[in-house]
Amino acid sequence: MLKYVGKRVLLFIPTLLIISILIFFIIQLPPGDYVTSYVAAMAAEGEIFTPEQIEGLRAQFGLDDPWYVQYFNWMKGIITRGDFGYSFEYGRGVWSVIMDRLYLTLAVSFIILVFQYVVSLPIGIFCANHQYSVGDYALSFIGFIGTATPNFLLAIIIMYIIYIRTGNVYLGLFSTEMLQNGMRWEYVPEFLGRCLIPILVIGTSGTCGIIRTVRAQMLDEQARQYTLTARAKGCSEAVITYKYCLRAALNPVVSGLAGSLRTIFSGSTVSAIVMNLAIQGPVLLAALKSQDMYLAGTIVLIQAVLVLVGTLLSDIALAWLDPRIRFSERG
Amino acid sequence: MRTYRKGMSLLLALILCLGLLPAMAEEKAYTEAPFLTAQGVYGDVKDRLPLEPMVEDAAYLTVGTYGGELHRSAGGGNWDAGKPIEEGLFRFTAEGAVEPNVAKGFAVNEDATVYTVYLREGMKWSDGEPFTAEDCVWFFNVVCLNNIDGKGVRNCHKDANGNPAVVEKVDDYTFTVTFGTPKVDFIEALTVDLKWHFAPKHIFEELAQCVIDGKNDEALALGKEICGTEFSDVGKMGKEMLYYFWNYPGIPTLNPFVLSTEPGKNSIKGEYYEYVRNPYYWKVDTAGQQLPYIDKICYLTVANVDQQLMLLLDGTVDYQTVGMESIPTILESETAINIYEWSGSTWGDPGTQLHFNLFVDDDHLRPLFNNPDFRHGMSICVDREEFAALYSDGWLEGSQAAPQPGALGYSEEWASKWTEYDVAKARELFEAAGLVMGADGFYDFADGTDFVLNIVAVADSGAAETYKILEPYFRAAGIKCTFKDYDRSNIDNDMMSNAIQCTLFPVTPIGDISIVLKPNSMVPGYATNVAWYGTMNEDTAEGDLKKLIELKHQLDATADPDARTEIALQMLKLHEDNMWTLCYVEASPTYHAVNARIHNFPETGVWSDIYRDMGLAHCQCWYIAE
Repeated sequence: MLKYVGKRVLLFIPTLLIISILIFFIIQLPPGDYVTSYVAAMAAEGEIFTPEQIEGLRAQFGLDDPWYVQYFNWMKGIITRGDFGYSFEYGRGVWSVIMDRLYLTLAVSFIILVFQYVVSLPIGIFCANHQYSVGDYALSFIGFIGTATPNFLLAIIIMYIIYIRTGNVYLGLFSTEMLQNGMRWEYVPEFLGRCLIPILVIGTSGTCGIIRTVRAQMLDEQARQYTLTARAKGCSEAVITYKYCLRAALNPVVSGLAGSLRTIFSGSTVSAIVMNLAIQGPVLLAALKSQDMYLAGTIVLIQAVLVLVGTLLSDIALAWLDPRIRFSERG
Repeated sequence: MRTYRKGMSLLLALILCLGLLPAMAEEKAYTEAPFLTAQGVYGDVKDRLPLEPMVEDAAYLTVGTYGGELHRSAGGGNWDAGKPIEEGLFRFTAEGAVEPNVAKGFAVNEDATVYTVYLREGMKWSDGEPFTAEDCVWFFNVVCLNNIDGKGVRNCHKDANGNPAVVEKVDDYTFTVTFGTPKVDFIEALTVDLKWHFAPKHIFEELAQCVIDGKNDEALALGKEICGTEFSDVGKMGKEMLYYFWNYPGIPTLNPFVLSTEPGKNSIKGEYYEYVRNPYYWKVDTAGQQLPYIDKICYLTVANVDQQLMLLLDGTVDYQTVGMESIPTILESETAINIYEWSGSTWGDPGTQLHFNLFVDDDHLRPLFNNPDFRHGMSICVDREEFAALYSDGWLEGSQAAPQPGALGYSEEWASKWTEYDVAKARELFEAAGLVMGADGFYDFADGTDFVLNIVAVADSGAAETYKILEPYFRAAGIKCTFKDYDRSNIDNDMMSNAIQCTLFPVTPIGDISIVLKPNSMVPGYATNVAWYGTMNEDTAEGDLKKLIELKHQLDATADPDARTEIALQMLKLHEDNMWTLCYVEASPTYHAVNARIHNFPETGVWSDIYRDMGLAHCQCWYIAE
């Protein structure tokens, strides 16, 4: 097992290098660069630049070098100094920009992830155990609504209903008072209320997939010989469901965790913009739009690392969950 | 004799009393905000104000009460927070005149080569350090001449030969600006081009010297020490700290509000930030109360205008400019919000401006776009009345790209030139411009080449909706069009590489309150992203376009005010004659949505960059009364 993990970790290095080149190349592909978007943004605010000033800015930001030179310098900074470059938009180091929103992003995404699994697993099991019942149809219907409705639309609908009911727009996770005075105990109820909207909006979008996967897998497992044997031997339904069927049914759910790591880091982008959540997703979008390439590149690179790590962790978890995988690895 | 002595004594006493009157006036009691008194660290307000504070006494103002917070939403832009609180040496009045502001006044010699600027004695920076002529002179001689702020010497400081002025200190409260040739518009140009003309020398002197000496690491370390920000290089640092100074905590200013230094509230890129009152602010109201009335301006960062509107509606935000389409919603909301209508400064509604790139890199299109008959045809093939009704839901009327009423050069004839709807005549004009009707019912070039008008616009600007209304008119007149909207940065890049043919809703619309003060959108070569002249400059311009640029040069070299006005009118006449840009609907006013608890917002005004957009509203005079 250790040898397997070691081999996979070593494979990370060339994979990441290739990914980083692709990322940098793709970010550079659109015409223009940060200076053009910066000049345009300033022009819209009434500030005009001369062509000489624009060239000066380009030289100042090092954008007059070919893209591969810029890539080489960027990678050199990361490898030798742990320096991920400079965010033109924020006017400071990329890492400090990422750290600004990291904890909140992790917290929000983790809560949403837990919500998705806590809600979906029991529903999936229930639906499998009560196939074609009213409960099965009703819960599946709700799950499908969550998936079928675009997150941003769901967010707008919920916010509209809240505004009509309360006269307040719950934009963002923090009220002005919380931002002014910092978090206090008296703000906790409002904060939790504000959290509920993104949890519902983003969380429900992922539940349907998990519900359907668990339901299908459980039904498959329930029809297998070992389940019949267990039942014939007089095992209780709870033991059959949770000890045998669920363990096997969880395999595809666990593999799906690989993608979740990436999501936890960046959060949902479009929904976060609609709800004005100060998480990583909108930063990435803004960086891509303004061609703030080191910031965008670093976020995508970290996402790539997390996908790789997530895949590895999934494989390890699968091997732990499923003895067949362990044995085949030894074999 | 005794009576005479008594009389003389009385007379002397009277003279003495009269003599004391100004002194008594100076002893006028000033008051400060309880917010400052409660802190108990700033001492007597009289000692913080200059000897002659500036009195905000505009007729529309009422004496306000202290306290409260003004809540705004923002997209994190530089100027969004900067312009409303900006304080220059001089400022524009709502009537377009320049009046002293930070400066107490100025004098100019007969041939307009030497300007003497007088400052207010006893004035202080927001950190309590004295503000003197040294700060003004040092700013020009060190910051501008060495281009430390990334802007260098502005046009207002250059004479007719392009040589920089000489700025010298006379005494602590007086400095002179001397030009090699007459510079009759220096004060106006300064108010437009540079505005402030000062920086806190006591903060930046060492840093600037390090930059000049090439000690970049030391300079960067000092920069970080001052505002807590780690800059990538000295160029960026200089521009950010000395040009966009209001965006950084710890930099003293003369503004009514300064960015908080408290963590969590001190970054304009953060979720929330606030500008708190300047304890040393140098303006008072007519009752002697030190301004501003409001304790702080709180900014909540949001992602888009829809969120800004939502926050306005639920009362979270107190002030926002809004589009006319939002007004019915605002008026229906439960929050009491007043709408104030200000006039704009562009030549017609920017959303309906059509700019043909007159320097387009295409041998078929360039002569066509430069042909007035073609532009005339493109103008009259649209039924403006119907278009305006569809475009603005009846809020606006059809018009042409022309100065707004009250602006120099305005005439009804110009505003209605080429506005009659006549498709048959438009077709005649297209044919006169060399186009021939093809078998497909669309015009081609004379050599049989297909003519397609490729229109571009910035994505999400609203141009796509405008195009949907415009295109059927063009099609009916025989003009085949395509439309593409894409990211603004890419549009700008294409414009700089001269790859754009025609733009709807340009990033930089044509028009401003004055072709003299800010010619950027109206004279080729003065800006980098004006769609109608693109990359054209004085070397490549021809005909009337060349003449327009020459007149601008002539204007710069002319001292006599009447002669200058005459030249400006000639420039505008060239525009009127040629109609280089088209517009289909009159300019929409700027609508300010202001929570009813905010008082002293001027009911009328002009929204212009020259006036610093909402700067004319003077937020230091706003007060809150529930």
